[in-house]
Amino acid sequence: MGSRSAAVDAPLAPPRRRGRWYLRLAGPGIAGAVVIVLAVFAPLVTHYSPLDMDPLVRMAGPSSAHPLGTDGFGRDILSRIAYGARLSLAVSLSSVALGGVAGTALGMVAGYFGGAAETLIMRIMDGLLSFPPILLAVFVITFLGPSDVNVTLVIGLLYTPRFARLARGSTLSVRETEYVQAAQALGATAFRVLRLAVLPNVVAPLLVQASLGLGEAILLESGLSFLGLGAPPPAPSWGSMIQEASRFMNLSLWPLVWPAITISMTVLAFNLLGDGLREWLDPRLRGTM
Amino acid sequence: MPPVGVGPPAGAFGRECRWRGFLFRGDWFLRPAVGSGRAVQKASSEMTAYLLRRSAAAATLLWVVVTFVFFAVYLLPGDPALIILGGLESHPSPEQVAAVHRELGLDRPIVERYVEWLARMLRGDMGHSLITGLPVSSELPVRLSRTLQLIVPATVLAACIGLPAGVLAARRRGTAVDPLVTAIALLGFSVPVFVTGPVLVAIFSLGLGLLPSEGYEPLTQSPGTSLLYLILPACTLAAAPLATTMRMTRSSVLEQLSLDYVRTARSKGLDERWVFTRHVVRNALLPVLTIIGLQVGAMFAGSVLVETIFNWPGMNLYLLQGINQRDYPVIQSVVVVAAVIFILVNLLIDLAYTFLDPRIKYG
Repeated sequence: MGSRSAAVDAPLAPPRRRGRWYLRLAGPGIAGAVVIVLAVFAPLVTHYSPLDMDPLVRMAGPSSAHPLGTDGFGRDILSRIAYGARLSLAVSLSSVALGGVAGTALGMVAGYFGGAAETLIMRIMDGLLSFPPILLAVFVITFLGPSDVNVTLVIGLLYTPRFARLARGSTLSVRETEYVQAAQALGATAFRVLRLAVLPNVVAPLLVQASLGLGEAILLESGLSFLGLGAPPPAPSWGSMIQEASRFMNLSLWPLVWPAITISMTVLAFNLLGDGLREWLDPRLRGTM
Repeated sequence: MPPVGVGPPAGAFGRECRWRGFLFRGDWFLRPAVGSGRAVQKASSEMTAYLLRRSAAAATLLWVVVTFVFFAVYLLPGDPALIILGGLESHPSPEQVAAVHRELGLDRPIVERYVEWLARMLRGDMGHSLITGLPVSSELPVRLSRTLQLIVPATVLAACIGLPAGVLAARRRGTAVDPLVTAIALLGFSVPVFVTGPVLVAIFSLGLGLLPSEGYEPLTQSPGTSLLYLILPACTLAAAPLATTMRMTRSSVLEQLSLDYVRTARSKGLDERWVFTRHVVRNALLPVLTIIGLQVGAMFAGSVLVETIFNWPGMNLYLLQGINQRDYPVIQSVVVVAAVIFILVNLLIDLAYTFLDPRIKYG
């Protein structure tokens, strides 16, 4: 960061860059890497199963046997966090992928072809956006039933209109460019034009949206689990861990503290990654973000 | 060339006045220039058309949402008749089920029921709870007002801290204040309410024993106790909008600071404080007001977690109860009301924005 002079005319000074983007991404990158390592190597991190209950060591604080302590059922917290990381990362990555692919495809089709297809697609997207996200999620989960797959589907559904709007907007401007006209003049099919000429030129803002969506997907997944609408217990999910822990709060705080720190740090890391990516890909934003 | 002056002519305050093609009112510094008289007239007819179009779009959206909710609920697995006859595990005779179906009108064609349902919703009749038998339209307003009791203080809190903090961060760019505000905002984005809530409870209610950990007390009975119950949920709910407000205010002020008119104002010798408070902040607050409005709209449904954590018997807890008990009229009504509020709030923001900022194209 370096030292800064507390200039009186601060607003006059040109915006200062806070180091190179890849240096600023180091912190969140490491935090994200820790979570990914936890998720991938969960069985190596701890030899406890996330489901094994040991009634003799309920609500234990950190010890050499259980590095982060145990929860109200005597389950190892580290193990539950590590396996919960698998669930959270799997849900958030696949829901963003789902929403990203579906939304991008719909948005590009709407922007490229226009007409009735565009009207139909974008009206449906507007309809989806007119529900508050958590309400739509709760509502859809009600009739799909609570499970991790359904949570993924719902978050993917929530993300589709965001990607569709972005993709349509960029496609509208790319459609008029000479290289698209050249491709059309050469007789390329619409699919080929979209894939080879349009997609590479609309992908940057979508990537930013995707990276920002990852953190929010983790929040949504654990929020739904907290409400009892995610993966049903006893599956290890960060949200349901906090929900269970907050019922035993007067007995022990450890089961609450660890998942709370984990969720917050993970989402923080993803948000910082998204911000960094946005600043890197969109130089216009430099100085205001 | 007309003589060049600075500011509006004398006597312009307190009434409307046109000067060099710009419209000035008593509050002229609040509104950007609108243009010459003819342009104003044209703009106002364009604006009426825009308002009508925007309202029509919102009405269509409302209809789509209401229709979606109606048909989605009938796709739900589970038969409401079974619940009335004693829960999902009961095994009533087919005759009993058929009788309840007839009573509820479930044996009639779905289109007929849909039209009737729409007509009832328009009259404000939302049906009766399958569990308690009480009319939903008498319970829902009570629940809604309790949710509002949570949202209003949270919004005030978020705005009263977020706006000054964001302005300060932009003003003191390059000092320690800026990264501090940015860091707090990032934390507010990243720490979920179901972490903030229990942590606040652990500190203020279990640790210090100052505040109740959950529950609700009507404002009319004992305002003091009711405020005690309100503090933790309202603070928890305020965290996310506070972060958004801070961040948006900061980047909006920074954006305004980089514009040409700021340089003009400075180079004509205006006091820096004047430039900042009268020009930059006033212009910067416009988008922030929109963001705050959007936050309010989002909080109606977003308070579902806060209501769960603090056992606050508001609209969203009503919805969750309805979902757990498969109480279809309750689910339908709450989802419709929440979506209607969300759409109306967004419509109001759009409309307010066009009034506040005449530069907006009515497209």
